[in-house]
Amino acid sequence: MIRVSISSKNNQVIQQLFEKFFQKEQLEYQIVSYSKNTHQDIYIFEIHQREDLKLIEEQPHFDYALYYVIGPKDYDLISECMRLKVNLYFSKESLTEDFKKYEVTMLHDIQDKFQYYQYQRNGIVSQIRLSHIYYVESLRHQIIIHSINGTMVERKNLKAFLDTIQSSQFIQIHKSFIVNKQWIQNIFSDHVLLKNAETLQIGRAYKSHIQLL
Amino acid sequence: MKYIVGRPKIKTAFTYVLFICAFGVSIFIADAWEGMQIVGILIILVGILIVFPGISYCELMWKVDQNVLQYTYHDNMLMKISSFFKHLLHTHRIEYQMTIELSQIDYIAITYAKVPRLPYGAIGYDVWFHVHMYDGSIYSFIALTLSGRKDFNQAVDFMKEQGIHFKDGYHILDALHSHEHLSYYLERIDKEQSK
Repeated sequence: MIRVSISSKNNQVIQQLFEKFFQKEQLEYQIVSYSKNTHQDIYIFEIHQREDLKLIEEQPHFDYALYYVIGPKDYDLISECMRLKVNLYFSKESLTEDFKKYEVTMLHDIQDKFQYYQYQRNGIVSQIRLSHIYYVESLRHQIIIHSINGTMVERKNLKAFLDTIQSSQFIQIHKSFIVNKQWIQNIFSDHVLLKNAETLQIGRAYKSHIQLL
Repeated sequence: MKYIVGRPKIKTAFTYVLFICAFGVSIFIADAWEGMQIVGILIILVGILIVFPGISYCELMWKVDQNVLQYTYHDNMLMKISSFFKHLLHTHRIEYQMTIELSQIDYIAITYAKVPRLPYGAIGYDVWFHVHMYDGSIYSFIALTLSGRKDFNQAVDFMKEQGIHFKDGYHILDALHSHEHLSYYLERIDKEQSK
């Protein structure tokens, strides 16, 4: 489920545009009005003037979220939005054209950030965002999924995990470790340093995989 | 400070297995006809190796402290048996397969599921937690089955104190704090929903 929040006076038109896109791409979504203290996946802000950017400035920036702005064709505003790490800027005057132009980028970003790994058993169902998995460790006949939310153990092997997720974001660096490329901070000769300060050994047989990065 | 919901029922299981073993031993001693001793040994082994962990190591166990919410589940009977004997003979601590950081929890939605209860096929209700994380991940698990209401209430109150927000559309938490039987309450809710 993709959580979308819209802050706009022209809510209906923007909402319809995004709804059409999500339906076309068969994405599960939920659109709500913008509220500062909630966590969403996509934030859409409509701005009219420079003062409206305050809303984006005051909004805590989450790495996992996407920020889209709809505003006038004003280069000062666009550069200011780039400074605020806005992912896409849609011109109000040519909203439909811009939307069409960015559809592929949006879809790519959504697949990249909001793809799930699903696990289901008798008394448990879990959907973990792939982008927030640091690495997957293999221990005896089990795998341990280390993510931003904690850890989860599953009876599986690494190959089966890779086959399930079908994602190029993950790379095997050791017979016991698969790592998420976007969480790699630094690569050393024999180990990898992750952004969460953990280090993982690189297996000799997997050095060629790492060299391709 | 930590709160545990669902604990290994070793004493209950031990009592059951004692009866099974007594039955196995009586068959072994009686040795009514050829091969019965083997059957007796098999009954004792099944009792100790399968029935004992099966009954005592309950499927539902979760623990919460200031930092994490941990949940245990077993993929299959083999895992349950191996975890049980590891707990009993080796580590003396329960292995929790799922660990969720409390700081990453956005809110917990509480709901229920209608399930048939063995052995008579009567309908029962399980209370489910849907743990919604800030990053959009969702962890759902059975938080309460039949017993353990007191432990459950204490654990939920503790989580509320830690700043976890609960979304309880069916007012299940209120019902759990009252003296009303949860199954009757949920049955009533279920009937109202299906109208």
